[in-house]
Amino acid sequence: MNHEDWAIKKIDEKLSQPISFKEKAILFETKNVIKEQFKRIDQSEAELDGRSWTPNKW
Amino acid sequence: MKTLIIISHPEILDSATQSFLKATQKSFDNVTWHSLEVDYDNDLNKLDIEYEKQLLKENDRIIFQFPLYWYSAPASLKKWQDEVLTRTFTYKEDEGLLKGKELGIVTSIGNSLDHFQAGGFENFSLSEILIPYQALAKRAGMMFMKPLIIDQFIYMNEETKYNLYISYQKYISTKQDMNFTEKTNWLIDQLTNHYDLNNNDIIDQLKINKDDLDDLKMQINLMRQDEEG
Repeated sequence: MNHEDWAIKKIDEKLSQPISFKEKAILFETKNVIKEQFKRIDQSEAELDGRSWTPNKW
Repeated sequence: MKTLIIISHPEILDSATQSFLKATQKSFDNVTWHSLEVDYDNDLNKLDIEYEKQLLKENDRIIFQFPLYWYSAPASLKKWQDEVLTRTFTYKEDEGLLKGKELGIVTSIGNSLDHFQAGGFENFSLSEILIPYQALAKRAGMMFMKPLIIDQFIYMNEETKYNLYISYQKYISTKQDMNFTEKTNWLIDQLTNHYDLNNNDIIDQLKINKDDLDDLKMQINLMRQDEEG
């Protein structure tokens, strides 16, 4: 299981417990932010990779 | 930062939207909830102008909160504006006691937000409809905040309400237009200091990701600079 799946699974486990509306709201926000972080990490790594392989530098 | 929320709503006690927002702001110490109808017992002729001015002076962010009635606020807010916002007090060229403060609008609408655009059912955007408040902010030397629009609250599902809960908290208590790093920091602070969810592992993951992203951004910037010479 990768880090993203692990984190989302952890949050979903918390969400399935009897918690308050306020706690659910912050956990949903956490889930959104974590997903966005992993998306940006993937995109940034891809950009870095792309820039490293510029034919001009070969 | 201190925030004053001025609510104008003739049926506030029956409003599900206002009850939701009231419950949302409860945990904030620096936020004043000021309902014109409740605080003046539905009689705006009792408006205490000096008290209202004092409230305005004491707060940094002023929020007008109301349901949109005929493309404007209910009459109580207009009366409040006409009587409290006197020329000398308000005009930035005069005493300008609101200068440098922020003006925010939280408004609820009964139909869908996408009706409010050119060619839509209403044909005008909410930015156009709310222009009088932008003009007021400009005249007073205030910074006009991007309005928070709540459309069709009664049809919202749970997840949309969670989003509204968080958006409203940010609207009343954080700086405007936070970038992604700032939003992440806000979230880490909330989870660390305001919730007891026993979730240090999640907080650690947020921090690790934030550091990774900062590091990647720095590397990309260095490469860009290198490419651009």
